[in-house]
Amino acid sequence: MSHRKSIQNVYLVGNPNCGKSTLFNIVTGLHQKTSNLPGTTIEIRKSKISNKNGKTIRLFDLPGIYSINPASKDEQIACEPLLNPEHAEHPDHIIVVIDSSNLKRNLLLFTQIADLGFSVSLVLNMTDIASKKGIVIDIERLERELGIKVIQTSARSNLNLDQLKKLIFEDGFKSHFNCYESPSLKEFFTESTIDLTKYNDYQALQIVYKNSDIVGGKAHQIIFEEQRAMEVMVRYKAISGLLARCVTQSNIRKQVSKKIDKVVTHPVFGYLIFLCIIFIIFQSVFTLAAYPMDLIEQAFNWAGHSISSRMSHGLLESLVVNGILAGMSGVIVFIPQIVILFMFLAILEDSGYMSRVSFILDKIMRKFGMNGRSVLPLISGAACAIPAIMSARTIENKRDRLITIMVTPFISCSARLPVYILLISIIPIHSKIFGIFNHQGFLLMAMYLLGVITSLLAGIVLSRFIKNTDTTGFFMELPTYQLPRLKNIGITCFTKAKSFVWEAGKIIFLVSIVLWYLTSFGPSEKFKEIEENVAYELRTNKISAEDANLSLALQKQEHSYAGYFGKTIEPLIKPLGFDWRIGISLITSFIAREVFVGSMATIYGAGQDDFVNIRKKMQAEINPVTHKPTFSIAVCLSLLVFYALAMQCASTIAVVFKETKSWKWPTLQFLLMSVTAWVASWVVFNIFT
Amino acid sequence: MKLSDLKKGQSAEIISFEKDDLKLKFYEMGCLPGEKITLELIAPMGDPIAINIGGYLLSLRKKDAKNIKVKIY
Repeated sequence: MSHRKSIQNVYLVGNPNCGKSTLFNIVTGLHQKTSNLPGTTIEIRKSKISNKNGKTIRLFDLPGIYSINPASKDEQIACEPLLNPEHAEHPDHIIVVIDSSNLKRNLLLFTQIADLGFSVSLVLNMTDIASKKGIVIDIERLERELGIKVIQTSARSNLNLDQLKKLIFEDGFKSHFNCYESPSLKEFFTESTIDLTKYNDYQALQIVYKNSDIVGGKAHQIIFEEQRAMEVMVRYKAISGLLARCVTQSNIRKQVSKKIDKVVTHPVFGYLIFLCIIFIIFQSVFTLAAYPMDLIEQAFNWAGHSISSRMSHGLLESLVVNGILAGMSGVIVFIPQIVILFMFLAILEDSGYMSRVSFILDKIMRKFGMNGRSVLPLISGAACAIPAIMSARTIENKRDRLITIMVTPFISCSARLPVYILLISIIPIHSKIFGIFNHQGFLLMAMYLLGVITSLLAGIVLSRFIKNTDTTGFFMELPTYQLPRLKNIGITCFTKAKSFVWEAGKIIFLVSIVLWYLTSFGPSEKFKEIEENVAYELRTNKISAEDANLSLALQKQEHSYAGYFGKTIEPLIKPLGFDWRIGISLITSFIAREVFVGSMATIYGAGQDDFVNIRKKMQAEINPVTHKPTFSIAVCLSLLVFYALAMQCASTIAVVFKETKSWKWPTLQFLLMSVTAWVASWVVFNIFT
Repeated sequence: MKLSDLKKGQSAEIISFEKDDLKLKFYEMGCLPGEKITLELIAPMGDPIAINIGGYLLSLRKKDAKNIKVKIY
């Protein structure tokens, strides 16, 4: 243990589903620094905490891993601080958390970590489930055999949580449990580029594994695999011996779990239950979130008005109100939906149901170039593509993960909803579908279906081009069902919303300010001319002061940089029935799609976000060339389809870049989505014209 | 006999692995030669399947299950 550092690094390490994250939440509460990564525990979470005696430590929560041989991207991130002795946040004390109902498999990781030479302690968690299964553990004997501290906890029945809170501030011990004699390789590497002198035999072995390319090619890799498999076998043998001495157990699965599984994986009821749950989630996301979203919008409108009235009209006021405030509201308004969606997903995940969804949908998803684990990101995509794409990290298979990332933005996110609602409300259809259904509800549902179907079709197309080179199989634990813990879910939602605001917020904020600049500035000579003209008309009483302001705003918009862009892309969007003014809206939508509503408000001179007003003005708008309403059925439908399928989200592009670490995929995705949207809109426009 | 040939509810003992690719992963998940397994669930479309191994449920695809030789008790 190093005494040079004043603050020790304590790590919680364990298998997936061992309840480790819940323990971390209990110990740290809301004092967490995370993890910009929604999903379950995908990036390392940390928290600085102090006890009553004033001792401070840094507690880390690693993603769940089965062994120190990393298989997925998740596990690679997780293993880094364990396998790299030079790591900046090298663990001083590792607390291995174990699912007591599944000791054998969970102890494998423990023995590996002990052999890496760390000071360790053992937490036998989920004792409630274990005792229901008839597992009895002789703790004293286990402590003696391992030579370390062992405690039993249960997050669900609040058992011994104070002991855990004490344990993290104590020092761990090095285990003397001996189950694997690592080959001594150091002497063979004295002349090599890799310096192994500082490490113990097992650490040295891991470094050699990691550098298989330096040590020598494919042949070594195969030998290494074999060696690792041997190692696991030897370890299991020792663990079996240990358990025979310390534990009496029967391998019976909980009967309740068996019964639930029978229903939720039933060929008919299984899918029905899944569809019902999805339906309930969406209903709640949209209806429950509506009230707080309204309040947030009102608050921002009020803030905008009161700032406008207190500040002198001008550049600074415009920057604050139209740039900064607009950008902030674009982020904050989505928090209610994201929190509600994440709450449901956390419940599904915590209870153990989510892995059953992956189980029953795996074969279907395979047809679309994805796998069972892609279901979670696709559902999350209905709230926002950004956290959804991040949660695709749990997919081990590289190709499946990539395809999931590529197709998720096709799912209609909540930013599209205000656009859909505005366009559907102005569409001039007066008859009912089949004589009964209101066309509005029907169209809204069709928009969501369009997104789902296109994402699946895109999956098929992409799977033709992206070859599957990954041989990792599809292994997934189906955990025992448990009642979700409310507090845990609350903390999960809070941390996820926080990371969304930070990560996506930064990007959306920057883009808003850039777009504010583009819409409020243009070539200065032209702007001067406009101002002089309007001032002249006002002086000569041709127009009222109110009209002058409006005319100024409209002309400035037309001649702003954004206006020029709108006109530049007009030839490109004309075949879809759009003019340059819609073009401006398409560009400003890059902040977030719902900005479309605001842009329409500005273009048609209605009050900010005054829905009824915008609607009336848009419906009354006459195309100067054809003398027919601009927003005809064909234009509305074409615009709806375009918004459903086009990549109009700067934040998504940034996140895809971050997740794939290359510009190739976001560029391809942008092209794929733009071309699909263009073609689909063109077809729709021409059918209905 | 292969793991993929088991019927729902049947128990068997793992004998060996045909391909080496996934052996390490199987071992890590507790599927070692000599271990007793029970086929507990089959997904609605026949794939994937879930086995009870050492008291927990592990889901795997049929394709991967074909690599495991088993002996029925």
